[in-house]
Amino acid sequence: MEFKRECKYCGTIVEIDKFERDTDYLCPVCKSLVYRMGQPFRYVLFLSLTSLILFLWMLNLPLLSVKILGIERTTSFVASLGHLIATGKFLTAFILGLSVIIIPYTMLVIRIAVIIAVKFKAISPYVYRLLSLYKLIAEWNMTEVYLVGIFVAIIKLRSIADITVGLGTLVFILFLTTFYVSVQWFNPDDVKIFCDNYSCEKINELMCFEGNFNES
Amino acid sequence: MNLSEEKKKKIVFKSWAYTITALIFFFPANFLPMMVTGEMGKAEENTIFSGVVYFFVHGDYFVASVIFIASILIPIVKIVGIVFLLLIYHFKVEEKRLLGINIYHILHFIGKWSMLDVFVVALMSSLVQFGFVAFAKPGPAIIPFALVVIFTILATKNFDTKLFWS
Repeated sequence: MEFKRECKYCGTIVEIDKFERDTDYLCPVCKSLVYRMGQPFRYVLFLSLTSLILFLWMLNLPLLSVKILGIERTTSFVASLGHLIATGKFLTAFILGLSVIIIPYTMLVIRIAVIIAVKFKAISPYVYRLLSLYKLIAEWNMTEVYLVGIFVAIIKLRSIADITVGLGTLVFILFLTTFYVSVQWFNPDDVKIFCDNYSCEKINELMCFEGNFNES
Repeated sequence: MNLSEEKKKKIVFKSWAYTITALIFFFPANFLPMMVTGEMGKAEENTIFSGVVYFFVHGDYFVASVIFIASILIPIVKIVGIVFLLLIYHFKVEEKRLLGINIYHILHFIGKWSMLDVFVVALMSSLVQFGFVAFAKPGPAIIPFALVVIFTILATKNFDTKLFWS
């Protein structure tokens, strides 16, 4: 069975002949990526759950400690956000909270919820709405920028203070690794494409099949 | 796929509006202090550019380059890039359509990286709170700077490269 996808950059209709993992379907006109099937949902679920645990764990862990003249000060995600709110920097706190805490958390929860819905064949319009929300917010996730920000802050502060990298930074790196692999492995369009082209009854195939999908 | 005239006008109008707004905020973002630091009671205001110069003079070329690229170069590239995309559409330069799509992909990729300085300032201001001995706090430029980033991302997200083909 083949299905058609429109290139979102130039509008060319591209025919995709089969569900095939690890194959990039490129637009013949503008060479943009039109479709890449995600990895089996059970792997994405495993990584998403791991990410969620790491995420919740790291929120209150110390990211960095600074020592000047024997006085030590430590900060974490929550403490950093709390300090901005306490000092009246609400817009900065809002941007930081949204792009580094709320959006990645929401993405993880949506992904887990959708995969569980697929597992129990509970595909409803709500699932598609959640997936639309997922695509909308994904572009505003800035966790990797924050990680680079931590490294820049370390380099900036090392000349005036003793810096200790906290456990929170290490957990954050682990979280980012699992989070980004799971983002790459999960294609939010797969559920709809699969239901439109095959049958929602066979949706569980998305959970575990690993090769090419041939309709039987 | 052909876009309706009404939709085309809306996309172009909104893209110009976001870009011009980003350009307006770009000036206070770069001329006002981004961070206020103090040592032994002596306060010092630092703009983004003075920060770059400080690290360059003190031999921290890596930090100077990172801040320069993320906070000065990327916002300029984004604004110029979006204006270029809009001009390709307005002047119907068909041979630049593929170049336009490549530029769009680049703008999409680099969009959020300019937020780096905002996060660094937020982190440092919560860490360096030693009263008279040393302190760091966000300067008035942090809000216009964050708005530049947000509006350039909105301009890129709103722009539709299918306009080149319509």
